[in-house]
Amino acid sequence: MELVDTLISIGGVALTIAVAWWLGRGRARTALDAHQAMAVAEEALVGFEAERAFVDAGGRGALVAGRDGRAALLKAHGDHWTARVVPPGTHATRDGADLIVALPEVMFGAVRLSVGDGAAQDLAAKIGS
Amino acid sequence: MDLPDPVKLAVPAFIVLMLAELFWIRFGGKSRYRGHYEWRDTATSLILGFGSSIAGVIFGGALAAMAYGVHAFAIVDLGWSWWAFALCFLAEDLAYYVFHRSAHRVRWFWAAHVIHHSSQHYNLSTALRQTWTGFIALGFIFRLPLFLVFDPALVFFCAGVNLVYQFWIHTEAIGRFPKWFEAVMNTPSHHRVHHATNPRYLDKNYAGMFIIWDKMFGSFEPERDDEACRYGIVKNLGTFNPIWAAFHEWVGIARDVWNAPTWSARWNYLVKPPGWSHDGSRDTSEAIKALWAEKQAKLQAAE
Repeated sequence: MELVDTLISIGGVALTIAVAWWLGRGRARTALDAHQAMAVAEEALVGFEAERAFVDAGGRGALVAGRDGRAALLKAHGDHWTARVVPPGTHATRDGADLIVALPEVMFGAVRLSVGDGAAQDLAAKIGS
Repeated sequence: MDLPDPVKLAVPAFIVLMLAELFWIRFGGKSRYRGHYEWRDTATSLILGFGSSIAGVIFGGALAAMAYGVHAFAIVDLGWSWWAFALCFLAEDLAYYVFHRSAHRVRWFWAAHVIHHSSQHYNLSTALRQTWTGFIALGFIFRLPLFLVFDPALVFFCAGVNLVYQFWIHTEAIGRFPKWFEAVMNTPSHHRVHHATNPRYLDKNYAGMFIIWDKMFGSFEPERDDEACRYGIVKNLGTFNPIWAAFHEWVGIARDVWNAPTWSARWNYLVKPPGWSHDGSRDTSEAIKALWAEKQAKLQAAE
């Protein structure tokens, strides 16, 4: 009986994941514009007041400058957004027109933002300084 | 008395209802309350749920031994009458409320419970995103007093029913129930508030089955039509990795305790609310609510 229960659970898990994947196919990916990026940063980080946003060309992330000099990094997480204040020790590099931001928080992962050649250079220098 | 395991019995219904919700969200009529699925999020939730059932098997024996050990010192034997069942349901639900409130206010307990809140989605699969480390966090201590009054089998049965009840309230597919039901029972609307990170909603509605405890103990907050819930945790994970979801707060505690400057700070990193820090560099839910209230006051003054 225990084996049957376990198999029902495993089968149910696999079936539900497969159906969720199948029904989600072809759905438009969530994308940000500058206005939304600033709103998401302010919602996610209470006390953060957004001033300007550098949004990835595909809308899948952004770097938001705050009025108090801090910056917020947004990255797409499925069809939602995850935000962090960019802390000291953050590694930022430029790869052509892309800015790659790697927070000290390893599990957050590096975020690649296609922000344009000039902005990528400026932002990499600012974050790195 | 030999009582069935309500959770085991409910597993097929969990699967059918999740599939029904998935199809409803994809093909259902337009409604403010619809919900949303992301397959990777669902995979994380269900893997965590399956892992939790394995943890239950591993630690179940110790839990049962402890329950019967305490029951040996029972102060009264209420037997198996219908009113003993009813009383046990109520007492178990109150014990759940106390446990759940502590699980949000004491970081040690939160480290196990945060798993359940780590999804930014709110659907029936979120209900199954259950802890792997509840036993290690000592969450069972809140139920121990019940064994002094009730047979452990009865308490475990009521706890199982409570857990099964809480499954269906993890949905956006249902709006609100009639007022009398919303007044007494925990509902999807009340529990959406509990899973929300909006400052207004943070650390509210800890109920299991009956919302009356929140109303009695001042932790109730109704869902508002003008403020949609944003789900997840204050610092969302940004990864679907189930291992990280299961253990990230324990890793955070270990780091903080290791780096703390004093023994007092070490202790506080274990028992103070999530977000507490010895140098005030992080925000507890109170700090978040205060910052938010300050911003609201400024906005109102500017109008």
